[in-house]
Amino acid sequence: MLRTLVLCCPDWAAYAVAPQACGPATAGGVPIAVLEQHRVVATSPAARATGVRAGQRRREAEAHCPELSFIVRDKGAEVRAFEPVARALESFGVPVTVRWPGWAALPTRGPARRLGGEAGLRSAVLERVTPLGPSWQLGIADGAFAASLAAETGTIVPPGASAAFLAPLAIERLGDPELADLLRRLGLVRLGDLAELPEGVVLARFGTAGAMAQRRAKGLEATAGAPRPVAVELGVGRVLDPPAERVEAVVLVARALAEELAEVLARRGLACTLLALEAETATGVLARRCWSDEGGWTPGLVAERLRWQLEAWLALGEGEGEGEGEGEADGGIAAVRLVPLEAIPATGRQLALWGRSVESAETKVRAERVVARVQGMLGEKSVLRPIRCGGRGPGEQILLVPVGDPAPRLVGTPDAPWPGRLPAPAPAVVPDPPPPARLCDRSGLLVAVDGRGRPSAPPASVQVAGGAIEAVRAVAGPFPVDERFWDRRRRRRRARFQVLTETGKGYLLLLERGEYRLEGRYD
Amino acid sequence: MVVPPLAEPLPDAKGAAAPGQRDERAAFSLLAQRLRPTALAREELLGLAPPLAELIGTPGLRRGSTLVVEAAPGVCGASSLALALLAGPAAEGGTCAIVGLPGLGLLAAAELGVALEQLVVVPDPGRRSAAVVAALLEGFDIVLARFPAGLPAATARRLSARAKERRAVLIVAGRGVGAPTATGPALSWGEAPEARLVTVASTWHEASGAPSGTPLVGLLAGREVEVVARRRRAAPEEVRQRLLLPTLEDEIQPASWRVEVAPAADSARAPRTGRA
Repeated sequence: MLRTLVLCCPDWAAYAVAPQACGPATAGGVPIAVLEQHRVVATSPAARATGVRAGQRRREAEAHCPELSFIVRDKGAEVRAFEPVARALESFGVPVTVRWPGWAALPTRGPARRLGGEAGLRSAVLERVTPLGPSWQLGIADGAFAASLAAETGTIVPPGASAAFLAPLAIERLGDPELADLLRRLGLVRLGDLAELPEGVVLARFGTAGAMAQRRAKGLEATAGAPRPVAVELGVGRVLDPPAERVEAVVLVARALAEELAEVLARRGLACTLLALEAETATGVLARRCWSDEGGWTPGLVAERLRWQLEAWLALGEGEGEGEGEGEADGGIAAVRLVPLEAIPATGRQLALWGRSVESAETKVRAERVVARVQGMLGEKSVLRPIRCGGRGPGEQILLVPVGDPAPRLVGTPDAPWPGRLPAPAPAVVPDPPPPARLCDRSGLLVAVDGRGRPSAPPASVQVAGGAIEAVRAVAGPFPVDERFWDRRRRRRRARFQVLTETGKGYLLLLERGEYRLEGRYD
Repeated sequence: MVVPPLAEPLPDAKGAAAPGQRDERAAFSLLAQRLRPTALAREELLGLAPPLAELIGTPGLRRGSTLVVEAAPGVCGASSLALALLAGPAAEGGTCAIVGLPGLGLLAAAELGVALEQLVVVPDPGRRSAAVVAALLEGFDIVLARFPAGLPAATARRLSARAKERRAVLIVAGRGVGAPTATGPALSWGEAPEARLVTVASTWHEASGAPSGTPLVGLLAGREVEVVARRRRAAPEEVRQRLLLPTLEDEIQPASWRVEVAPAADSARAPRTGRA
């Protein structure tokens, strides 16, 4: 397990937009709260002292502190403000991972040895970041999850003791409110309670999300088989010519790149957990920042982060001018790259349920939500989506897959030549299961088809599903098909007839082992 | 909502030599006109093939409407007609759902122009078809559904109202749609649907050059179906029209090709069939 240092600041959203207000009262500290979707997400220390908490509604917060002022959240500003902190951490010479602005992690092994143990590293880090922000929390433990909980109390959990450290903590600390609520109602109130359960049982009852939560509660990496470094170079990039001076010019590219990356990863069945955003300036300076996300990156999320990060770099470059050697944005951004560094097998629902052709994302989301509701009513396998696949019969050419399941590897491509397949039009009714039918010659005997595909006699009458006997006006066929003749057990010999009755009805009949069935009705 | 595009630049206060009060007022009224939110009638319509549009009496499927499709007893064509109604909206990127019709041929749907990527099917909603359709109407542009016999009139009215409220189109499948035979009573729906389309006659055409009446030749190629539409709003109330459904643009080969299919028993000489 990787020893990890986590540095976080719960008030970052407030500090980033109003650093003065977050200081002590003597230095202009006033109660402020940052709002997102009408709820408080962060507060200044002065506001917290009066009882304002994250998660409260605006009205509630005002009740606690009448002189509270509100600021709307600006995630771009948070990233911009955090960039110097990330820089400071990078100066320790190890890769820094940012999960969100105000939360960064780094492996302790190298710097701890140099700086006289983990305690030494802690004081060195605090020394660097204290001028850059308020009330830092710092913790060291095995793995990022334990370390971020250790940060709240400022502890250094000794190696191997993470499970014991986590066990007495409340189940809500998992960071998954829905799952935590369920576990609490089942009587699992501490992380230790969840960790003690047999793994198979947890997986069976709570699915992948539950299994991941349990691994976290045990002080292990969330995914069994830790995220693997991506073996193949999967990065996507774009050269900007002329170099972009303003972020707006890069944003469109960012979105396209994010989509491209999502497709590259989806093709390999991977979900990215650690992503590096890289930008190269016209003067050849390379800026790079690693972002982590356990849930995997969606294109929208990637594009958003990339935009903020570029803003941060550009702002830093402007502010420092030519003062420091790093001076970004000299002559603008010349190239942008997204490189997935670590990935896990994608297990979640696939994003592209509806293909690309559905007009707007809104339509898609609306439809997906409704489908989820119907699945809740009738079961996961009740809502199906049709996929064209190879085959000869009208029913065989359509594969029905439950919505949310990935498409299986198709048994055959629809465009391949399928000898014996009937040309269009296909029957508009394909009963399942096919009802029995009879195709008889003039003397009332069933029409047979011999080994060479010849009928025993011209068909004269047809009877479908035990209905009335109808006279035949025209017949096409037989269309014999000998499928998988190389496989004794799965071999099927069949012949199809297209029948038109005197009453103007069209039937597709299937003969197999001397029995006719109604495969389709031309309705 | 669409703001009409700015066809000409607004009169500029700086540019005009003498910006009188009248010019200002004209500019404001022009601005007000341009910024007024307008829902164009065509946005309320989903695409529809021209002959079908003539039947229904509107240039497209009106959002919020309910249609009934069925066949006269013993007549074919209702399933194709229902699928053809789905094809237009699907081609425009609309989402479709089919409920309670396990026997509907989806290959035929694809051939009629329904984009399968935008389609979901709930083949067996059991006894909850009304609840399922009510839910789907909230998220899909068009829902084709078959309900079990004896659906209460009140439920039918409620579903129509839901379609109207959610700006979706509900197509109710009646006799013959997706069923092996077109038998049973005519569909009764709680309130008068926007249009009730009934297929009353259907004639299949065989592939060109096939002498009709001779067994063993003549693949089905196209079909003429006669539809009677009873409409609630458009005049005249009842129209009768003949449609080619389905139709093939290019003529398929004469029926003689059928003999050239590989003989079944001769496995050594049989062409390599698909790796199924």
